[in-house]
Amino acid sequence: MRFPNTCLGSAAALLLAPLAGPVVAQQATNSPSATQVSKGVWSARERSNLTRYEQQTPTGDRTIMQWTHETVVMYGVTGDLAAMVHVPVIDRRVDGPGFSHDDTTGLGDITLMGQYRFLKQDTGPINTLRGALQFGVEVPSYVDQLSSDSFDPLLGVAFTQIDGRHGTGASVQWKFNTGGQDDPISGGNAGDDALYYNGSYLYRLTPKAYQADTTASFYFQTELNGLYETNGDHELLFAPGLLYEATDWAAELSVRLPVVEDVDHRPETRWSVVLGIRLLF
Amino acid sequence: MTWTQLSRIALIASVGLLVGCGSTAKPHDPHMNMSSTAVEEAEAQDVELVGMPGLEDPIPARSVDISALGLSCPLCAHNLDKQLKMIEGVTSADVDLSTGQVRVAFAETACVTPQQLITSVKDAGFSVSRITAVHTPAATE
Repeated sequence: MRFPNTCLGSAAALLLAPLAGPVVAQQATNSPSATQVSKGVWSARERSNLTRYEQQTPTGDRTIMQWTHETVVMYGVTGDLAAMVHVPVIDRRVDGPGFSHDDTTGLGDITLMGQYRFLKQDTGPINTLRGALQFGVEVPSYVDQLSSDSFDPLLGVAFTQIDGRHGTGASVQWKFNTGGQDDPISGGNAGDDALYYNGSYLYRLTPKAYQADTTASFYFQTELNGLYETNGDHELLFAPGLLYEATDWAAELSVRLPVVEDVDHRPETRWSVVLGIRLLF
Repeated sequence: MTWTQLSRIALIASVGLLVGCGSTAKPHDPHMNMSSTAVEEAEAQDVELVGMPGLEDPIPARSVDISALGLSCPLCAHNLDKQLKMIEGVTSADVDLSTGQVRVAFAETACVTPQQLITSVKDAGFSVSRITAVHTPAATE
C-alpha cells in the first residue's frame, strides 16, 4: 500500500483529529498519536494539567480549579502493538455559593489502552506516515465525585505524519459512556457518549537539519482539541505549546484556550496549562 | 473581549504563521543519493544486502551500515539503537539522523545475520532499505 504523496496523509491527518495518548516522540501534548514504543521497551509520561472552569448556576456563579496529574506507562508488546495505562490523580477546588463539595482529592478513573499500528509508510530517513487503531476501557476508581463508577469502552484511530521539519497528527476517539458523574466538571464524564477529535501540527524550530551528532530537537506545537457529547455539548480548544526532545526524554508545555464553548451540562473551560515530561527506558 | 474571542484571534494568527513556515518545505527523496540500479534493486526487493551472502548467513564483517527509514526524531531513533543492542553480539549502534544510517558494530565472536538486524529494526517500528558490510575480515588483514 503506497500513498501517492505526502499531502494525502496531511489531509487525512487534518480531517481527522483528547484523551492523552501514547508517550513517545513527535506527539503533541494533548493529542493521541500513531507513534509508539518499540518491542520490549517501556516508556513513562508524567503530565500535569491545571484547568479553570466557570459555570453560571441558579444559585450563583461558581469557579473550579482542577489540577490533574496523570502518569502514563506504555510497553511495546510487539513492533506494532503497544499497551498503556493512564492513572490520573485529581485535586479539585470549587468556589461558589450553594455548592456542596469544596475540595476533593483522589484517584480518577484509570484508562487501559491498546494501540495497534495498521499503517506504516516510511518514505525517507526521517519521513513517515503512521496510522494506529486505539482501543481500551476506562476503569472506575469509585472515588466519590471523581469517578463515573462505570466501565466505559474507548475506540479510536490516530494518524501521524512526519515530513522533514513538519509533523501533523489527527485522531478521533469515541467513548461509550455506560455511566456518568452526577456533577461532571471536565468533559466526557457525563452519562452520554463522547467524541474526542484532535488535530495537531509540530514545527521543528531547531535544528534546521539533523546532523550526525544531533541528540535533541525543539518544536513549536499547535493543536485543536475538540469534544462533542451526545447531550449536545461541544467544546473546541486551541492549544499552542513547545516540545523539547532528547534521546531518552522529552519535556512539553501547552496552554489550552477555548475557541468554541457550547456547553450546557457542565462548567465551561476558561483556560488550561499543561506541563509534562516523557521518559524512555 | 472574552477568552473565546482572544483564542480565536490567536488561532487565526497561528494558522497564518504556520502557512508561512510550510511554504518553505521541500519534499525528501529517499533515493536521491542512490544510483538508478540501486534504486531498482531497492524497489525490487525489500532490503538490499551489500557485501553479504544471504539473509540467514552470518555477516562476514565486524560492522555494518543499516539504511533505515522513518526515524523522524532523536527520541524515535533511540528506540532503534536500544532494539539493536538487544541482539546478542551487537556491541554498539550509532544512529545518524541526517542520513538515516545506523552503524552497528559486532563482537569478535558474534554470529549475527542480516535477518536478525531487519527483524530488530522492524520491531523498533522502522523500515530498512539496505544493509552494507563496512569491512570484511579480509579487508582488515
